Amino acid sequence: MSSVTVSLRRTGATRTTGRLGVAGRMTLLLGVASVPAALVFGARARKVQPAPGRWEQVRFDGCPRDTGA
Amino acid sequence: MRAAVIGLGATGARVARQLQSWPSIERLKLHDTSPLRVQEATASLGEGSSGSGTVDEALEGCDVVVLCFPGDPVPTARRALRAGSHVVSLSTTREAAAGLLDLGEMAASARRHVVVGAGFSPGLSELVVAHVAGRFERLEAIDLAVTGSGGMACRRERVGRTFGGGPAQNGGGTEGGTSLAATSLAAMSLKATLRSLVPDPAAVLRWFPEPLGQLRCEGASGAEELLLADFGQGSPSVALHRHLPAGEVVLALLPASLSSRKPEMDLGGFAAEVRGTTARGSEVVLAGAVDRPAVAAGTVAAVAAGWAVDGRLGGPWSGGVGMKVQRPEVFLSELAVRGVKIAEFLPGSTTDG
Repeated sequence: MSSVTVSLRRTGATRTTGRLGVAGRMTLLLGVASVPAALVFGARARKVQPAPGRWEQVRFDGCPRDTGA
Repeated sequence: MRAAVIGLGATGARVARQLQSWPSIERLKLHDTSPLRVQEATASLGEGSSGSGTVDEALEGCDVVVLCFPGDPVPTARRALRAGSHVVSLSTTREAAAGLLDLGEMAASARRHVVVGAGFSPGLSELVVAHVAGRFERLEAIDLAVTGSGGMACRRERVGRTFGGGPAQNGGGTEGGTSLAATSLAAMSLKATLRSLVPDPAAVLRWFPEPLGQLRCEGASGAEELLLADFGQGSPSVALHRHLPAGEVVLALLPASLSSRKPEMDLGGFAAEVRGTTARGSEVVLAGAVDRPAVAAGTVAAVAAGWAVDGRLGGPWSGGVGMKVQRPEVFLSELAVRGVKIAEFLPGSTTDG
């Protein structure tokens, strides 16, 4: 991509066409790239730390097995 | 007990194995759309099992039939009830569960049970909720998060529902007979790619028992929504979330012969967050399980089948296993003996374990 052409519209001015410089291109690139990045990091930021505790196996040692439901 | 298993995929084969070890088993008939599968299963199970060429042949003279195939189980369930057999279904879709629950009158007049969704989830997940529901005076909400698939057919059905807006098209058989239309394949691939680039903002994190841990889950639909809604006092609100691992879509689209790793080899799990009121006020219980879904589902279905024949089921003639078992801890202890165990999250100061 040798150049990026953009259209500008200002109050009281006729339509003007110009070229983006290096800084402009970088801004545009970062702007576009920030959309998925914001979504990804936004989703991660919403992560909540689990309550302290642990998973423990439930035992049915004392449960009668032959009495039916 | 004379039993039949229709559908010999990853889960059906395990149901057959579990049924063969049931103390009162007399005869086990096996049927699948693939004769090769029937041959392999009968050869593996040995004496006491036999292959059936047609569904009607398999249903003839049976006390209980276990339906383990993808697609609509209702027509086969009707035929089984007419033939005088109890029915145990492992279907996981909401539509299939609704269709089977509608067979209540037919089941009542035949005095035969229709056990809906007797697998890993629904099935074991429902039993876990039933087990913890007994602690509450009133249930307010059940939030169930699930991950894992029983076998290729199960995986394809889930991926199809998530990315294709409906069940993945299949040939009516188990793994071998499943094929996808090119259009749905393209649509699924596109949606899956978009999903990987832009995460669903409505996704939630859920904590599964170790070693699964924390997984991102998205809203889903399934039989659980129907089967859990009638639990306890107060008609709790039910939310279902499902975690679909990265690469699941590609694996689901590959022909079975090209996927080196079968889904039944991977661990699946579920975590049920049950909210309600007790004498002490509002409380939350988190319980779940981690297992190979096909193994756990096969065990749940076989025990449900055995209990149906032994007259140990109650509740509505057509219903989920959690509604039909009046003492879930007895059923769960039977599962524990067969290696299927559940876990509960105990709040405390440590986070390991």
